Amino acid sequence: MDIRFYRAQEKLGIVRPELEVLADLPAVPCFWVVHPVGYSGAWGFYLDEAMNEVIVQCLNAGGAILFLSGTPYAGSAARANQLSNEHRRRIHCLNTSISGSESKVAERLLRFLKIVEELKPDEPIPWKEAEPASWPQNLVALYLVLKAMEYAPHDAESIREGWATMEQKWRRKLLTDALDEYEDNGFSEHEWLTLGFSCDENEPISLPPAQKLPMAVDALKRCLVH
Amino acid sequence: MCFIPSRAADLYAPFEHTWLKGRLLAQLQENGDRWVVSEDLPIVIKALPTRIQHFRLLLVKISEALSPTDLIERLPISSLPIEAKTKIREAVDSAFLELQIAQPPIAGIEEKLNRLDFVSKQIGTSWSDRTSREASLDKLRAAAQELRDAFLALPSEIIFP
Repeated sequence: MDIRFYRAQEKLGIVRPELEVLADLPAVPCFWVVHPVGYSGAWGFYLDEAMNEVIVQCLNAGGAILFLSGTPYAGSAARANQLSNEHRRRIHCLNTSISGSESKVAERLLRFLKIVEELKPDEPIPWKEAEPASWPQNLVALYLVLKAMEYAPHDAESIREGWATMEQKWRRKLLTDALDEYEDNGFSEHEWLTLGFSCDENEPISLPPAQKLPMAVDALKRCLVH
Repeated sequence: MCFIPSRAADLYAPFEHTWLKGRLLAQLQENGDRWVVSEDLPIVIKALPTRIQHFRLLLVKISEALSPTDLIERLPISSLPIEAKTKIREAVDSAFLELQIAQPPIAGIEEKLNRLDFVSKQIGTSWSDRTSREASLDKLRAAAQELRDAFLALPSEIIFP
């Protein structure tokens, strides 16, 4: 699909000329990237009579529209959902704010647009590729616990005690889910075991011993920021 | 790289994006010439001190939103006993502050906010002097733009210590 930008240049650092007037668009299905400058977010842009007419034409031709802005959801989450639901998911408002072309959000969007370029009109748009990937919650949780124990050794014991008060089932789930996320990031179960975590159902579900904490913290951080 | 968006943008966007960029800077651009010859202080400038004061209260929250401690209640460890959670929060926050990543841009925002506050108060008191209005509006535009740039220097993701 042909990609057209409406005032989104500053956000994405694109070099192609932008359209200042939507009516300049050719009568072919295209994918619009719209920064609704001067409107009250995506919703205000959508309600503008002239813009709405062109939006409808675009959607009827099999195109789609991505709104982005310095504000999450280019306005409000409720309006973003409404636009998406009322238009068969052919309109999407970016969940995260985008501050400028140097941001990681912009990098990801440019990758997403490469995927869109290959799509045909009316093909489903993989909007999740435009949004931040889901992050490894269990690994982050475990990292914060271990980092706190490493940084404040005098508090490590009370953190361990707090951990020990949790149900065995809860502790096992957190550790096994964290291991899954660890492996999803290209690291091995063998390495996991060397960090002092257990995987054996018959062993107590405990955190790594004090002497292994620095190594475990370092390994999890490498996994999170690699 | 694990990218976890921080809530900081949610907190400052209404001020930085909607108000500073969308209203103050846009109106200075569009109406600046008209304002120079008007005896009434423009409403958007009159509202500045209140906006700035309101925003100052948010700065601490913005700094907190960049720290991984902001995630604790959204993670499985939110169900840990309060005492353990407090210890984790305090230690992780200290390690985060030691990085000195969030403080410089926050200090930059504070400095530019003070500048904008000073310039807007100056305009308020000198508006009756028609000869200085154009220069004052230029100063206001520059101060507002510098504040916007300071916002854009903030990291958009959670930073791990």
